Amino acid sequence: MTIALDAPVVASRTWRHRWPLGTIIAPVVGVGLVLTIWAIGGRAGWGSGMVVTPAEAIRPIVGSSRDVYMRATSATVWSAFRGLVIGSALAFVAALIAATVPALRRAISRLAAIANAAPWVAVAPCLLVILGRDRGPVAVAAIAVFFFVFVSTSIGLGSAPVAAHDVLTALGSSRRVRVLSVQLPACWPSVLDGLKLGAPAAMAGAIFGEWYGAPRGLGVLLLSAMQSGRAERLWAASLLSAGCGLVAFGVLAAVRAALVPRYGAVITQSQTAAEIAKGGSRLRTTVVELATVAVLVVGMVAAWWIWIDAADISPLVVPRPSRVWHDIAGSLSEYARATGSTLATAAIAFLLGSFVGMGAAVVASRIRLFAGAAVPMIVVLAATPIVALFPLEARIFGTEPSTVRILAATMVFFPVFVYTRSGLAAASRSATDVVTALGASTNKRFSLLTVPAAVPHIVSGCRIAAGSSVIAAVVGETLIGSVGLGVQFTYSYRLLHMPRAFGAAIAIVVVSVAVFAAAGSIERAVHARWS
Amino acid sequence: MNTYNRRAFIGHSARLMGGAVILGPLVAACGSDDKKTESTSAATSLTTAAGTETTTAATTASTTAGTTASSVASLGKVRTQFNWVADVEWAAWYLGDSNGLFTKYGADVELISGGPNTPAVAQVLASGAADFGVASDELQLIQANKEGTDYVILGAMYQRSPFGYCWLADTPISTAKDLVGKKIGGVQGDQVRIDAVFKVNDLEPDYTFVPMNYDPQPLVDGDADVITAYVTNQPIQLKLKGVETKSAPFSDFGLKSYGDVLFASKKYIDANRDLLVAYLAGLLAGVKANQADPTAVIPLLTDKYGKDAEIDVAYSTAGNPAYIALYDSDFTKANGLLSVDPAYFDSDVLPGYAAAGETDLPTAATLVDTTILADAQKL
Repeated sequence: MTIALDAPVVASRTWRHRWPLGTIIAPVVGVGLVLTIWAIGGRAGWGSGMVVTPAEAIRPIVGSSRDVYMRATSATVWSAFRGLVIGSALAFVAALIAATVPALRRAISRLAAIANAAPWVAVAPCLLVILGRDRGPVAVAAIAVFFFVFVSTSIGLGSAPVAAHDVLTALGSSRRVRVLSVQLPACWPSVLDGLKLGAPAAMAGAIFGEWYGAPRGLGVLLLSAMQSGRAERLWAASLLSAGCGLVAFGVLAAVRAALVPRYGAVITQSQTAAEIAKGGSRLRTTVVELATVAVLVVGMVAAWWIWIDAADISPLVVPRPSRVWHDIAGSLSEYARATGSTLATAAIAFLLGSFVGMGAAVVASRIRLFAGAAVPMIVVLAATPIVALFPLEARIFGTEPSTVRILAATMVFFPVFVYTRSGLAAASRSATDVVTALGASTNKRFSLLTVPAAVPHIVSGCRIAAGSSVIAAVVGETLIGSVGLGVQFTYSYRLLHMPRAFGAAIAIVVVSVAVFAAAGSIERAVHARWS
Repeated sequence: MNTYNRRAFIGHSARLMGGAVILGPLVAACGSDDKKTESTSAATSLTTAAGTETTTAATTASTTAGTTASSVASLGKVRTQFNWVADVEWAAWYLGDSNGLFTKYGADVELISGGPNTPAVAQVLASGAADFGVASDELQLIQANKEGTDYVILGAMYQRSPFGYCWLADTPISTAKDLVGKKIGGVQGDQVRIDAVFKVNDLEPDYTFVPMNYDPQPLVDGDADVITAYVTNQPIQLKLKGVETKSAPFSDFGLKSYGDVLFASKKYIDANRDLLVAYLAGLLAGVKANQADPTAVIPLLTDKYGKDAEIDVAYSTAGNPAYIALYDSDFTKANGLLSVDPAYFDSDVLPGYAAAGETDLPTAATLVDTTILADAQKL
């Protein structure tokens, strides 16, 4: 085996510069291919006429209703932007506090998971009472964004190399200084990963929030399109929403790409030597964990009770904790059945979404043409609000239980894809050069270097996906499901049986947090093994 | 190698983040204030201008004038919450607001649209965000009052609720018995009324529920044999798309109820009686204006109240007459439009809900108050 020297490496670099396959040609070819298939499908009337040609889909936007669409887009984008700023600022601060004050870390992490898990529809009356109808879209967008940015910031803050921590600790710096000078600079690429996920989520959240009764917006247009059965209007509104999400995603991805050379892309959790020494017994940590949860629960129930009495909240808007408890205790079997059904749907959605997400990311990393074509399409899919996707999916797959799983899988797919893709690019430059110089083939390089470097990222992506899978299943059930916690919630809510509705919402939160915690411990184990 | 100053960068980014945290809520507050003033019906400025004109529809030309001789001093503002988006269903309100019919009697109005995710109108009123509500039928109010609210029915826009069934023209359905064993599509929560239709006809509820959303496609595709629908909405929309259907309200199947029931809490009524009398007088005038000219509301809907909702003009023009047909009954011929018959309520409507399994039902004496509307009719 000859050792390949500089020559072949240099030659391939210049070849790539002359033909920028990945960055220009592939996207153009890919998008062109998608448009062609779309036009064929539109002409053939796929999905019982639900699919229209690209020209028909664009017509409402450029035709006589141009003003309406432009006003609607600016209203929704403005709400989404405000939600993104507020949600990510809060999430960033929360993660920073969690990193700086270790005593609060567990509590804040649990609270973030709970905030993420509260189904948006359950939060509606409470939001209306506190914030007023007009801020609905901003509030839902902020909630949608918070979780992604919180988790990614926490991951980022933990990704500074152990050596840097040790140096500063040995020099006698406080925890605060360590956070500011070591952890903070290292977290930007990860924060931007979170923002990348958050931007399309903010659009979807703003649209969902408009369904509370906003006077204008893309959500309002989606609804009127659905009611009047005009497929082209549905497509037009969805395209606008996806387009805005795509632009935001692109900008954030570019910023992140600019930061990676400066800050690196390693995201394994690191522990300082001092913390490792302070480990403590496993029993002690479990007891502390349970105590934190108990304190949190008691605190929240107390706050709930006090708020109802102090603000004179009507039982029609928020029921008393005692009545909710009685309902849960009295109908345990029904709750158990619904929970089991939702968990099953979530599990299937998670497996389906992760499998497809990882597969797509791997193919994208190996075949530049596919990457250039697929990534914009995937981001468009992520930015299209699920409420716009579901009529199409319902017509293609029919109104049956399996469609709920496909809907939920669509929501799980995106985080896994984004994190796997980051991970596959994370192998360090020098290691890649060494292995290539030693004559390794692409496949060998992939299995020896790229995949092991990607595993921590993939696991983080799966952790976020697991946390979202329960909510994804619930959203799918709310739209067209027939069993599960989402159905139980919607049904009771519509009949104004508030204790049952809140009981279902609490069950959703508990299940979601439990799944997220389990995924978190798996992630910690993997990161420990891989760092 | 580089002269980059880490400390400066940290300080910089900390200031940026701090700014975002402070700026965010500020921006949100400013933005929503704009929204609030916009959604407050731009009509209030227009009604004062159009105060003299009572028959022609106002255009969006904005002139501000003081109150004219035919308007009385304002008794207050009634925030009205609808249970759906801007639609021709609310024609009477739009005409009343636009033509100054409410301000003529001294009532200012704010018309608030709903949507699919809006909490039930009863909840919106309970949270203090609105004063006067429109409920699709009485059941919501009966259930709300069981949770401790004190809602009272003041009248009803439609003498029969348009809520009912819709099926393809060649499916043979005419009585409740024909529904046995069928696939019935509806939104989560409709099961209560579907079961009620069976029980009121002494039948066991035997059907397959097909969960749907707002797209009537499952009926066209055959996933459902029958769907729940407003007889004034989906059948007309489907006909415009070339699908022939038949439809009938639940009343025809034995489950009688009023439609678009007008209600407020007893506390609010006691505190604002005169305002409500003026409000209902204005609404009555709006109803009569809509009856007189069903096409007058269409430009208001497309250019003003529903301008951001992309109103379907073809549907609205066909739907309005269908709604107007529901205004009249033998009772209204004798007692005026919008009125509710307490005797009919006790003898026909409540038994339907009892057959549906509802317990602790109120009587018309506690749930219905006809005096406010009676006073309004005298104005």
